[in-house]
Amino acid sequence: MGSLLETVYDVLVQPRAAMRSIAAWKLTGQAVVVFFLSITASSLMLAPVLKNAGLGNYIPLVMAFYFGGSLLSWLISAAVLSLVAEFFGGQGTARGLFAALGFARLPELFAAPLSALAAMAPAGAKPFLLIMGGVLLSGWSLLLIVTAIRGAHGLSGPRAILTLLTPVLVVIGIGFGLAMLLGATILQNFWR
Amino acid sequence: MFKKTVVLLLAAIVILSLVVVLVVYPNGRQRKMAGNDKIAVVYVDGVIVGGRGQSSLLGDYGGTDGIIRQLHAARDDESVKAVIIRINSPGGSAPASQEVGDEVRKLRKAGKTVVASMGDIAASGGYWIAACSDKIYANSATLTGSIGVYIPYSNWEELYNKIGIHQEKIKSGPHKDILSPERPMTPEERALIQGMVDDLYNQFVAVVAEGRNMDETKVRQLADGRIYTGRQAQELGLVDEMGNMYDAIDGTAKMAGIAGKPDIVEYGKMSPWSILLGASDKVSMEQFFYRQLSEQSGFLPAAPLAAPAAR
Repeated sequence: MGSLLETVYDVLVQPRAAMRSIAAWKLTGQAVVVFFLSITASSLMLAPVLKNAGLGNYIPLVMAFYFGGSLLSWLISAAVLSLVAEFFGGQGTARGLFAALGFARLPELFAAPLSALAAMAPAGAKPFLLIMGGVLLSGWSLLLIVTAIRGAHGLSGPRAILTLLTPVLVVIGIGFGLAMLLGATILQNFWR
Repeated sequence: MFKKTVVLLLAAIVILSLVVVLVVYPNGRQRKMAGNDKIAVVYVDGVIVGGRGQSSLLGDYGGTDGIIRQLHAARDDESVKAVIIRINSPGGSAPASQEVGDEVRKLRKAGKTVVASMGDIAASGGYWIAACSDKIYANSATLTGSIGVYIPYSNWEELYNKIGIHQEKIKSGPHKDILSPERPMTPEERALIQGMVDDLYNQFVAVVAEGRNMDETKVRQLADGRIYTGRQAQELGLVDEMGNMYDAIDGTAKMAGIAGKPDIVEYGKMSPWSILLGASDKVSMEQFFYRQLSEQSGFLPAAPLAAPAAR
């Protein structure tokens, strides 16, 4: 496998093949570098927003939470998605998926050029640029996550999407169940 | 080689964008906004307490430290030409009010116009602060005045006897337990406390006389502790103009020579988290008196946010 720069290029231009290689070679080191660069860039974008909101004193705290939260989310999502992928017939390793998911954060780096464009745009175009750009970057990120799951576990597109959605659906289901239970309990006690 | 070049080019674009967003653009925006003259609004809400006030999960609120920080921020901001102190306070601690009043004077010396705008109530310590400003606006129904000082004292001796509590203090000096609630005050102690009250009162009178450009004798006639409506206060020379905060903003803009509609800046905005999780410092005469009673007697617990009045 090539250098980090070549890997990044491949992820941008040929994501499917690139993710497969990343997972196969378990390029965890490169993934960590990409992850931290992406998180740093996106957290730096938070600083002016917080400052304008009068929360300048909380910038270090928010950034620390953002870093920690993102790292934790990366670890947990790799573990959970790997498990779910195996239920859907995937064959791969959690470490491979972990590495691939690190590269799925690459679109966050492009939030900076988007913000720079929006900053220089006329006032009327700013919201449009930011919203459209945000939607595009989020979509691209989701696409890379699905591609990472496909590449790491050899799943088809629909199964990879199902793998991604299953934990969300489970949480919603549990939440719904708990709400029903709570509602029934309250009603029972209220009507007594 | 081609791949590396492309990625390095993209990296350069990202880095440049970060520089634009974080450095170039905010500085340019500041320079543009620096051209707009501003009026800063600093709020004095609730009971005036010194230090950091009430602590919450995400900060400290309600203390004069925060108010003074805002006054300093207004002083250091070149685009701020004037400051409005919006007062909605029944008063509080004399030294705390004095600290803020002194900072208001320093702000005026630094060349900024300072105007006080009174809300529902701006009495006692709230009036102390207002008196240090260039001009005072009040609504005709505002409650103000209460120029005076008191130190409350309670004697719980009879109650203690009834329930069989006997307190003793082993003290280093005869006056160490002055204002103790478990025994009557001696005449000597009363004289000492009266001396303190008189000194604080004289300081208060001097502040009002200087701030309102009034003879001290006249101030003492008005400063018997009574409260006035805004209209009464204007007739007596304690308040300059009738009007709400927006009248104060218009008047302040004229005084500071700001043409057109001025930009308003507020320092020390509470964050949404602080509003959800933090302390509230709403004005409440009941809380004010309850707090005074609890602090001086040392018997009642400190007033919670929604304490019933101690009657």
